[in-house]
Amino acid sequence: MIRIIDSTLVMLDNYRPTKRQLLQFCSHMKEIGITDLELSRYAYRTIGNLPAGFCFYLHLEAFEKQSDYPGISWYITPQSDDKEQFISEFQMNDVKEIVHLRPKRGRAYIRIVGLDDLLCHDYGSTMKEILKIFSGGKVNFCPEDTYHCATALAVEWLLAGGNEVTTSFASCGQRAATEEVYMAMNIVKRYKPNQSLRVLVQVRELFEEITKEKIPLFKPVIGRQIFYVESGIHVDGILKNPSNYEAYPPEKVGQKTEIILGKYSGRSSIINKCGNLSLELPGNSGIAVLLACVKELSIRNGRSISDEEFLVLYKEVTVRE
Amino acid sequence: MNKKIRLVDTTLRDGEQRPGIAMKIEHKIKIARLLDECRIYEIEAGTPCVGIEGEEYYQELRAIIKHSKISIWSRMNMKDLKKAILCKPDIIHIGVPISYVQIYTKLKKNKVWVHRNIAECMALILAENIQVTVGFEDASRADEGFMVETARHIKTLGGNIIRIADTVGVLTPSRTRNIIQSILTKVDIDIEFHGHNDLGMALANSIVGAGSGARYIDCTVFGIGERSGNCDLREFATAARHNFDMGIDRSKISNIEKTVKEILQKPKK
Repeated sequence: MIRIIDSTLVMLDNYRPTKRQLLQFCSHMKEIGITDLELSRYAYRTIGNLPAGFCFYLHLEAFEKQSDYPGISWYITPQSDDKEQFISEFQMNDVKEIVHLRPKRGRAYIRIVGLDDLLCHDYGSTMKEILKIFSGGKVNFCPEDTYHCATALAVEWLLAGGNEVTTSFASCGQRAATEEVYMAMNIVKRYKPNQSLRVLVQVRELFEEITKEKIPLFKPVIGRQIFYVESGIHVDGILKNPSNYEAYPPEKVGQKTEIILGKYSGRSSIINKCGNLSLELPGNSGIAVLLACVKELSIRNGRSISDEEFLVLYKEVTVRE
Repeated sequence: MNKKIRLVDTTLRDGEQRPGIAMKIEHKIKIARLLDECRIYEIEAGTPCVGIEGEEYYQELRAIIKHSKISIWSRMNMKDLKKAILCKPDIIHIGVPISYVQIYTKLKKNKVWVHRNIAECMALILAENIQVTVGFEDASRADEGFMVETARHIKTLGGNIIRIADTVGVLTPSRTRNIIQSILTKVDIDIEFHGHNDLGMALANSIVGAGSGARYIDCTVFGIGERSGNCDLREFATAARHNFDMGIDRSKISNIEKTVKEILQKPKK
């Protein structure tokens, strides 16, 4: 069984999210089937009564007691001894440090954090070795994203036989992106195949409300413009069958395909746009002239063109026809 | 000694295809000059068949580029290829749909048609003494057996490089490695890897691709490209620096990024 522990609520303390925002985040995560959430102390205290139906995780400092934080299912502590309800965490900064794990063989539950450049090494053998060392117990892998490979490492861990990863929404705090790992496993291993992820749009908005920062427009899975398409070849292919150029239906993640007009548009885009705007389709030569005008205007302005601009061009071209 | 690989920058072709980007010729020339100074092995400069930049653009590129090879992308049809040949590039990439979904649904053709067209197109290009690369479009969803068969076909026709394109961005590192090694163990041919970032793994797949035997890796500045983009040039050059000799001057990447940023952020009318 695959378990994704989302640690976003550990990363947002600087933004002081409110109780409503924290509870909203938990609720959205539950909607996509992620019920394992790691909390910071701030998040724990702000939420107050923890909502039911979740398994909560919390980092415990050496001077703190388990009983200070009721309601938590698992307490994470650095390199602790095996104790009930405790996860020992090991920071691994280099693949060579794996040898230090061997004496820990037999631990019931550990978390490995780091290994950001593991993909540049023989990651397959390393993962196998870790799984072998802790074959009787549970291993949670929390790759760091310094080399922008954390998502790939988390996915490879799950494909190699690991069961658990720790991630965060939009890779905040330099971790594997929850939404990317989820979608990758959904496509590659049919993980929760019928689960709708439409709520990711609301998670994105909530995240932006908390952080006051916009998610990049082209961020995988959650970016606002990832399903915009302009190139003539791609538009033509998508109109024939969306799966030609889309790995999964945009609706699955609450988005939709948008055909944009610009420098790389083709005939199909012009025909499609005329249809969408209920305009009478010009003849073949008219379409060609209109397409040339679209490209020229796009290059002149250094961007795609709007529906209003297209309408002006359409009128100019069809009057001449 | 680190393994040698070659970087192919496709900012001016696949990168520019990101919706909303529309560069003028002078901008593309400026970027190409900087990529050349950085000693990028190959600059994929555009797609002549879409009728935007004419022969004069490629002529100007040839005049200023001192180190890099200039390549252009073309669909697999004779009309487009004739336009491409007129631009006199060093290399022409032919985009060949290789997955069954693309062959049977998009093109509404079959495997025999694909092989026959590859033969005709390659003959046309090679007769002009231009190097050819055959791009396997949508390789991530393609049948491995058909890819191997097609790679053999290309080899017998005189081709030396195939481009494995993860067109919809669904590869994982292990799948990337399996595809590349599966072809390399059966066919003596060079592989170029072209990743897309739909699942946030373009960089990881490119690193593993290079480690699995791909000799050419495609990148774009800032990772710009269709949907979630391509493999980011700086990120790849940084992550791969200890394992591969890319033959580039990494110190020049900042200046390329600064210029591309200025061009993309120019006030829009």
